[in-house]
Amino acid sequence: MGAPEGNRARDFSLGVEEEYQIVDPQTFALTQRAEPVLSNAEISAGGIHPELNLSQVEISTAVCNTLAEVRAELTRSRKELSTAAEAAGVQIAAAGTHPFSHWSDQTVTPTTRYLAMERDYAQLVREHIVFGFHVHVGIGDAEVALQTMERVAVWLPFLIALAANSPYWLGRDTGFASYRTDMCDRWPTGGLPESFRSRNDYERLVKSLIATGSIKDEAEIYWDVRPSARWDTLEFRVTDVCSSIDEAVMVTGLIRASAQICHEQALSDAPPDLPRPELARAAKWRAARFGINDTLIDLHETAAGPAAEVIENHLARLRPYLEANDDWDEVADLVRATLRRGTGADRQRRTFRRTGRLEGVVEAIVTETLSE
Amino acid sequence: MQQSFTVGVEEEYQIIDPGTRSLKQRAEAILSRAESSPVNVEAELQLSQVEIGTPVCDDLAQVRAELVRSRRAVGAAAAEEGMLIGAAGSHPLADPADQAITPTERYLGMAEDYGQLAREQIVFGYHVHIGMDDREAAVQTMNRVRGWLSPMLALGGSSPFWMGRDTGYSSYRTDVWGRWPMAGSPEVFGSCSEYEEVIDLLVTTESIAEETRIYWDVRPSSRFDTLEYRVTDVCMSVDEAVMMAGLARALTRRCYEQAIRDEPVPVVRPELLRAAKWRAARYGLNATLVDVHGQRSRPAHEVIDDWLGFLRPSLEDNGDWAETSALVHQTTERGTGAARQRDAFGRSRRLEDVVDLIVAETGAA
Repeated sequence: MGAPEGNRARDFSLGVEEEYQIVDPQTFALTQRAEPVLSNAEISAGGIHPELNLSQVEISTAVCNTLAEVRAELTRSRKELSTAAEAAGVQIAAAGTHPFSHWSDQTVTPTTRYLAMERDYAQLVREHIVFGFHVHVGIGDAEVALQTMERVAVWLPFLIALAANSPYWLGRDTGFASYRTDMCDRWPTGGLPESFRSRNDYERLVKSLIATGSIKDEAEIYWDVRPSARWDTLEFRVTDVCSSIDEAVMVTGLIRASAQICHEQALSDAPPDLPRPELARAAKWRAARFGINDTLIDLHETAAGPAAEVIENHLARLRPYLEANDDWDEVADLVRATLRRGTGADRQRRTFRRTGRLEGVVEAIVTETLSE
Repeated sequence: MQQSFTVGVEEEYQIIDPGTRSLKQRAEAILSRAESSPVNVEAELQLSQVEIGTPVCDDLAQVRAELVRSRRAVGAAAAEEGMLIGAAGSHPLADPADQAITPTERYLGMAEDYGQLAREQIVFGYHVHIGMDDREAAVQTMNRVRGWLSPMLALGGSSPFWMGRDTGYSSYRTDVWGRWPMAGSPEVFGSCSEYEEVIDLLVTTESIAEETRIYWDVRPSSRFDTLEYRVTDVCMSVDEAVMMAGLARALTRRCYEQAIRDEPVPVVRPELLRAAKWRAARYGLNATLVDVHGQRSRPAHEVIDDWLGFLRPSLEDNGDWAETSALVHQTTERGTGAARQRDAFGRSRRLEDVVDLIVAETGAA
């Protein structure tokens, strides 16, 4: 759970973290080889970190200002990590869940922090074999960051649907496009963030969670979007890790533009028109369940519509921001390619139908993870 | 307007094979055996469960008599099929992959809509309806009971085991149940019409197929003039089930009286409410609980005693003080259902013995 280096981020600078699976090249099952992979890896500018389980590792990019930099960083990190994995006799794979490896066969990383989490959260930690994608967006003003946070909830279902990449769990099709979303919502401090009147209000909440023994420190807040405890960033942690770098770049571009539109709304002082929390949760759940294959709830319009239509509407709202960032052509193309070809979840299901083997699905994920 | 505060209880039971002690998909046969009996037994989501509902009861003595009668009748119907019944929030050995959904339009529709989430719902709850014929008052009461549900959950934990393992939780069912998109603590509603607008909004956006799919910990019932609690695991013993009914009834009365006096709704951050609930599900009575009103963490028995103190006037008005307070003390002394299951496992290291304990307590009256 690291994050990009450098303490003072420029507004709307980007830092990306990806969690990867460590896979045995013969059986395609998860394997507990994080330690040799970590000791083989020397990822330069950014970082590579252990994660909760010994069958996963996390990379973080350097602070980037453009999507081209994000793409270069992810390409380099995945390549270097893959070389390190190969030297340890394993492979890396980017997807929100592993299709068939059982949680009861995994091992928690034996550091003080992770062992304490296992002790405190027990079964919740044991079952938490999921792989996320975190984007830090630089926002220098902590008050504005919180006002931005409450407004971004309406964008999350759209992001979850496009990034969905975890349909299988324990060897079965869950019916979900992003089953990882369901897993993450189980944490007592997971889920959608609430609203705060001020930074003081937020700090009071953190204090009361600590005082009541609910969390040990701010880093144990796992909301879908949170003010980073360490950097001047708003951290989006709601989406599955994408198999392809293209999709990772697409999601990063969309997150930045969503943060920008909400940041602008926060500065305009207009009172936010926030959705009912029950509806925001339902919209998120629907996106996780169906991805882009059914209807989505458009929280801007408070209505359900066909996914492709809802996604185009979201894209149109973001267009001025994507254009100002010089990201429009690339991101719009990538979104439309996803609508045509399907999400990572759709591709996993297609591979399974073609090969009839979940091992075949893992193999395809490994290949996509390393394709540029 | 004076409310009746009548009580109706629904309990979900496990159908257990006496040989292997595992769950068995025999609901249909047991339901047809029970048809001739005078108790109300119904199908549930899984073919390895059945649900009973008591008639509307005026006092706890009647609740007790009805639960004893229902458990006996379902137990007898199960016995005719060579099966046993068990009351506990989870089955220690069950694997979701081995279960089967009840093949009715309603339940197949749920399995279709909710996918893996429905398949993993191998959990057994306890629902208690408290009579309130004024829906506005029910919503205002709901706003005020939210902060008091974690002590109730802590007393009622009976689901420590899952898929053959000790989860570390007192009520692991709370985690499994909390996965429904419409589960969890309700929000605060300004009025009954605001509540109804939200329900309409959820239906028109296709978030839920119908109002019955709202699974909050407490809500005005969609079918009866009641405030319905569904926060706790089904209790192993009838004593505990009666205790829960007494507590829910007193909590409703106490908060209703606050509402009609227009006392302000306590402001509690939802994050803290959720943390409090999680702690109660995780540790039951064995550690601290979060006192959401005092915003601190305190030994479980202190929080329970304070809660009982808060409820005492209503328990007395309901004529339930002596019995309910005695049962709460009995639970804090003997341990919750979860603690008793762990004790049984500790003695023999066999989960089959835990199932035997559940079955024995379910049938003891």
